[in-house]
Amino acid sequence: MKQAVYILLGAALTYAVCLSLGRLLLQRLRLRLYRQEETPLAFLCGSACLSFLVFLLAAGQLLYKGVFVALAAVVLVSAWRLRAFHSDAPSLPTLPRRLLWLYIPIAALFTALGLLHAMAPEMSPDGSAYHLGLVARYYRERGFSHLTTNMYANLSQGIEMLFLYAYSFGKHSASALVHFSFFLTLPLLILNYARRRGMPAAGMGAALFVFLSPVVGIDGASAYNDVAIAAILFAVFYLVQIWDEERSNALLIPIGLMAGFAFASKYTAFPALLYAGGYILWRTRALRPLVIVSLCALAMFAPWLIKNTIVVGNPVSPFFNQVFPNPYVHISFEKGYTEAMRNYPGLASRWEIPLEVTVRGQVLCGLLGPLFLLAPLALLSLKWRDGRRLLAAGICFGAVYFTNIGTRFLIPPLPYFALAMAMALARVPALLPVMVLLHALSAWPPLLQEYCATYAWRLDRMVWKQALRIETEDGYLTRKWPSYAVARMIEKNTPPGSTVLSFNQTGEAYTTRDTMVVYQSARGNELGGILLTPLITDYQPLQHVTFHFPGQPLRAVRLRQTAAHIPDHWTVTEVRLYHNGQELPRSPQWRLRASPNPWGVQEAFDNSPVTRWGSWQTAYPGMRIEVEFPAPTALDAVVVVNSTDVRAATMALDGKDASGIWRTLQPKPVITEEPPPLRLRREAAEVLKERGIGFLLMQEDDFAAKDLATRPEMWGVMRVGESQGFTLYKIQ
Amino acid sequence: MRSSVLILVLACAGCVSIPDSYAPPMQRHGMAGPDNRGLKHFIAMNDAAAPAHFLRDVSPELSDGLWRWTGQKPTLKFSLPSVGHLTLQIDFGIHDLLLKQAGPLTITYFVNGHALDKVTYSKEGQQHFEKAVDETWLVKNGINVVSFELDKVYVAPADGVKFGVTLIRAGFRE
Repeated sequence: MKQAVYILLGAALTYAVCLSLGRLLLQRLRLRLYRQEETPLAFLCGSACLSFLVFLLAAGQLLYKGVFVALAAVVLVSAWRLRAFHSDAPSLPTLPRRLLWLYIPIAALFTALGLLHAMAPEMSPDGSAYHLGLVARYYRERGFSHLTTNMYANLSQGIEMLFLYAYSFGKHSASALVHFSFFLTLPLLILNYARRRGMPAAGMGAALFVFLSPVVGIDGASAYNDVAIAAILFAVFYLVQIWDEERSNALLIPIGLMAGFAFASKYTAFPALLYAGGYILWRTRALRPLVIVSLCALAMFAPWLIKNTIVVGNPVSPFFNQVFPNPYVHISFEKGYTEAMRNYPGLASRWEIPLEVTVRGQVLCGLLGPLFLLAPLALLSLKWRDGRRLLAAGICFGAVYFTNIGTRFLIPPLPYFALAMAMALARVPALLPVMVLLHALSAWPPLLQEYCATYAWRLDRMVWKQALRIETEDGYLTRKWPSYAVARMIEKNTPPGSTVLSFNQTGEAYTTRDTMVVYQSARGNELGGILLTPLITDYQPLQHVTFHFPGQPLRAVRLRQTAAHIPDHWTVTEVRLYHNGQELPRSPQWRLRASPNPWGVQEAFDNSPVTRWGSWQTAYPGMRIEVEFPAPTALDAVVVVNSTDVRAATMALDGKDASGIWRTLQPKPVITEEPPPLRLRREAAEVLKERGIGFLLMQEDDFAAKDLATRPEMWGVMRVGESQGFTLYKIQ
Repeated sequence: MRSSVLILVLACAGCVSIPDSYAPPMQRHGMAGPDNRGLKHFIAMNDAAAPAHFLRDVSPELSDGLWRWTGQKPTLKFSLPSVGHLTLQIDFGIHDLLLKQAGPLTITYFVNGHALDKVTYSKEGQQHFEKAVDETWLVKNGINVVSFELDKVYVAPADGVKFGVTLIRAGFRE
């Protein structure tokens, strides 16, 4: 129970600070809002402010509970002294009483369902992995560290900054409750907007359409950020519409802040910037309002771009690596990742999406509910101006859906379509309440499980014992969440400061050890490749490409890839230079260059058969590796040791003579096959250890798992732990 | 405004220093060296370095760009950079004439004088021999001698020339 109190305290304090900051801001701006609008909009504006402040604290390595308490004290006292909560704003029109009697019990039931889930130990896949894994890490390290091996750390994390604040008091569940507060705020916004526009019944219906949607419920009760994004985007829309009515310049500031906060919370929320800026420019045809909005937005998201620029050399990492080349995220990874997000495994065709996102919910991870099969009804609202504005906003915010077709990526545009649908349904007497009732029944867990897919992501029951910690967090998570057990196994069997290399994401939020997942960074990609080289013949250096040419002094040699239109990357395991049959020792005065991926060039000159330089993008003519000598050096042969997965790549050798002129020394090399080097497994393990990897985590169906299990002595590893189909090895 | 954002972003990106070049890194030791004229731990018969591995009973002539005839006791030498967890692996072919003339063929495999295995073959075609070798029999970074002794050979009726098996590749692997 004590833990439950801390969880509630952490979340409540975070909410209170956000609300107070927002009230202070709205008071300062003297916005003319309705009384019911003040709290949700103040909370969202205050969230943006608190997120910004926590970012600054993280950047300054000041993430201490004492600092957070002091911040809360200053904000709360200021709000109290400045009477920020005082309001003499008018009320919105009252709501239909009969509908309230129907809707309030439904909303209360689903609120309890979500609240208990949010309070229960956090075990969402991404929440317990990177959302809170990074939060826990930042808090442990008192701020941002120079983290270059987890691409999720490069995404904008505005909501995670709020999680961080709550985490310091109540750990994981307090963070989930912060997201839950956005989940409660979103329907209020929808309702208030509709009331403001004179359609309270439609507003009530739409708010419940969204609130009761299964994927919104589970997402909003987890340490994710999609529902928060939806709330922020709706606030942008809401404020823009108020501004359109009132043309108050003061509104431009919260509009800019919220649009910037949207992008600062999730890259895919960038349409908020286009919507706010575009709408205001369209309506005013003047630059000044646009400049105000843009500057406010910039203030919110620029810190994230600057952080990325400093840490990983790409402001929008892990994307646009072709524009901002850097050693931390490979172009090939970005390509594969974006493709994977557009095409979930298990989805035979895009025509399956409507049924998958509304009824089944397994392949795309969640369902909106069968009600949304009626989404085309929203088109009926086009005959009203409000309908057109809603649908325009919905299309704008939903335009990025096909960059990630998971169901939760439909949450941001959902409110607009829900309200447009409700507007149409409200035209038929009693139809809207009936639809709300049916939607509620279809979303209630015992009925939901009757039709959705078995493993659809959803709220499945009231977990009050777990929420109140009558069942311990450790007991519940060990029983229900394999990733937690794996994380604790890592914690138990590795010393502090250890780095574990894994092919799979685990419950990183529950271990203090650094788990490097191979697909989450360029370094991870490379280490994963080293580990697999002894097992995959095509990765091994089995091909020698020898360039013979008349002996001559050269200032530099350059190896050029010449093949066009091939599907492979170009890789080189070793480049060896010869004169009179003797290999030239590699001098520290040599200068090595490569293009692309100049950062990896040393891998081709380290005398290891398990490391190799790679282009990490599809090969094209002109890719090159170059060695420059401090003085003209006599050479008559160059041997390129290659793996066999680059057979399609072809090479030519250029030399720079004493006069500084490049010319081709040998366009046609001799290719010979070589046996695989001995002791590759041990070599791979040794290289991994030299690069800071102390442990390997293998899931039973990982490619390397069986070999490690059956030949640990050949690798030089020792099994130190096992849990939930995962085995932990120590590299000796 | 957006252009100013873009300029800021690009300016920020320009702040990151990307080294123009690198020096060769620390060299890893103990790995198979680069000298492909010397002895290897495994050799294909079509490798230009193969003859350096022959001690006796392996033809100097390469056939079909792939294999070489052996005599009755082909013997080869190998250099091993490491000796743990190795298997002796030999790929060879048995001609049907040999089996027709002399019956099933028994081969005894030796590593540094130690009898590793004895196998009888009664079918023609390509064969693969593979067996783990006790590391105490092997010499790290030294010469290791492998031989395999055929209990019979094919004798050409016309000229009395003796033929063993068609050797494709041989040596040690993990």
